[in-house]
Amino acid sequence: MQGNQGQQEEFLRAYDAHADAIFRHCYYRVYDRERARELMQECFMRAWQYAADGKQIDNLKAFLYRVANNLVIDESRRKKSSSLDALVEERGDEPLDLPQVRDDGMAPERNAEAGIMLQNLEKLESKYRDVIRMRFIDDLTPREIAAIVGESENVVSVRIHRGIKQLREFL
Amino acid sequence: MSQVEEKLKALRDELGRTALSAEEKARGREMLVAFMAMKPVRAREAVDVRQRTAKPFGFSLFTYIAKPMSVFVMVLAAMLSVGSVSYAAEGALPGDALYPVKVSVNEEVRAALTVSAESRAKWDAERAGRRLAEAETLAARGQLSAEHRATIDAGVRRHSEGAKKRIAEFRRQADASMAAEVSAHFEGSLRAHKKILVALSEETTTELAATIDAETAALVAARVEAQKDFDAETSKSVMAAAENRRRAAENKINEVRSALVRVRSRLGEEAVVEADARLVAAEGVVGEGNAKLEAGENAAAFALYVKAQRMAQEAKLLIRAKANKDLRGKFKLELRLNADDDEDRREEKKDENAEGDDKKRHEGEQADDRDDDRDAKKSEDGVRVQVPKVEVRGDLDIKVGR
Repeated sequence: MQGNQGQQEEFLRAYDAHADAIFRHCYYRVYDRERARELMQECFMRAWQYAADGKQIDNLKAFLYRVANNLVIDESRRKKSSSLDALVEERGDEPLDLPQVRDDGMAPERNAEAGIMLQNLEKLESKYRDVIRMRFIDDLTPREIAAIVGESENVVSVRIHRGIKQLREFL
Repeated sequence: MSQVEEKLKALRDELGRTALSAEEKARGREMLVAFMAMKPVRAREAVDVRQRTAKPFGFSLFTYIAKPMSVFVMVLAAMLSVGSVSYAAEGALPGDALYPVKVSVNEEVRAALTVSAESRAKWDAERAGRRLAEAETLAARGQLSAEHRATIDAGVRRHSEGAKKRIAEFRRQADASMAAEVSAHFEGSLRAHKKILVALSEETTTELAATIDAETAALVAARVEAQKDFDAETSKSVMAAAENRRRAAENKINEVRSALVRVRSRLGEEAVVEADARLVAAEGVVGEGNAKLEAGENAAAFALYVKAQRMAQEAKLLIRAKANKDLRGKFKLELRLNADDDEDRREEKKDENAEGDDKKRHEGEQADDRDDDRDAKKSEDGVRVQVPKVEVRGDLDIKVGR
């Protein structure tokens, strides 16, 4: 049955290509590695369920990001204190240490810098923050972002620029 | 590149180090494979055509085009999945293949199965209500064509006739309580349906609204007539009927209260408050009835209890419409009492005029100065005659809080 098998292969290819990115995408919203991994898993399974129900997916990559976003939103509703803000509040003004998967002895100041940047990102309005994240952290093109959020490329570009402007004020 | 963008890029490089370990990723892949094996893509009736289209995002776009299933197959599927055609027909609307089954089979079977005179009368009223509900669903979808309107209109008239006949039969058998029960239920429903229809689409529902008005007027006229007979009857039977109606009104209000609790999450804060205000108003009317009963004015008490039941029934259907996911977002339905106050008051004034005139007739042997008094009142405001009724309105105002 070509249809089913073909789709499965497509999905596995998407997993190989995007699992890391989706995991990161979730991690930098929930700040919990284990949870992020579960969310990534659930994202792919839900996307498959959607396809298995016979529904059409035009753009699998965009769809996966959309599903991931929804899962993260549900998550944040369930656990209010998972946001970076809350973590920051707990720690006071110290910049966050970034968790490391590979301990390759990175320069500590880079770590701190990045932590500050993350905090600044959290101060942005959510609509700017989301596109900035997708552009600079997830490395998605404006066109891809447009497909994920359901806005035109223009709107996305404008938001990216406004977000950068706001960030400039924080620095 | 601006400083900000540089910093963001640096951030990305840092964050890029956060990744799944090889084992984590492999494990995830296995889980996905197992999941997909468990839930294969559902077989569709026709051939899947996979199209490889352009690749703007660096990977293939995957589209499936499937042939729509024929109506026959869908009906067959419905039958197999829920077990019977008649069950599947319940949701049918004018224009659907199964609509005739719903109306001519299901509803007729139910009619044949109802035994008590009360149930039969209520079923007739219910069928008229079902037609109006179909109109509402169609209106919400923008599918209330002239043809469908005609079908529904005919149905409403037919079943209203049936209900009215049975109500008249109750009255002929001097069962005022039963007549009032069915009449209150039906009248409340009609009033609610009219509001819902108009809120959904004023343009397409004018004829149906007119039909509802006509049927409502007929019910009101019959009610007023019956009330006159009542006034003339002996205390005892009237009192029994009034007690009966009080219980009915209280039960109805409680029933709607429970329903409101169940759907409150679907309604939103404002609607819940407004719905509650309606029930409180109905309770107020019951209170007035109680006062009348205590004062020995049984007929007046009877009328008030019947009114309270009507109000509760209307509230019930409005709440249901508001909570209905098919209608949600398609209309702005005001649950607020004041929005329709005038209509009801107009009816009441008509009633009062009728009652006032009758009272004059009945109390013809009373002292002349009392008549003069009443005349003076009448000429003053032209409509109000009964002082107690004024209190009723006053209470309603207070309860609604405006």
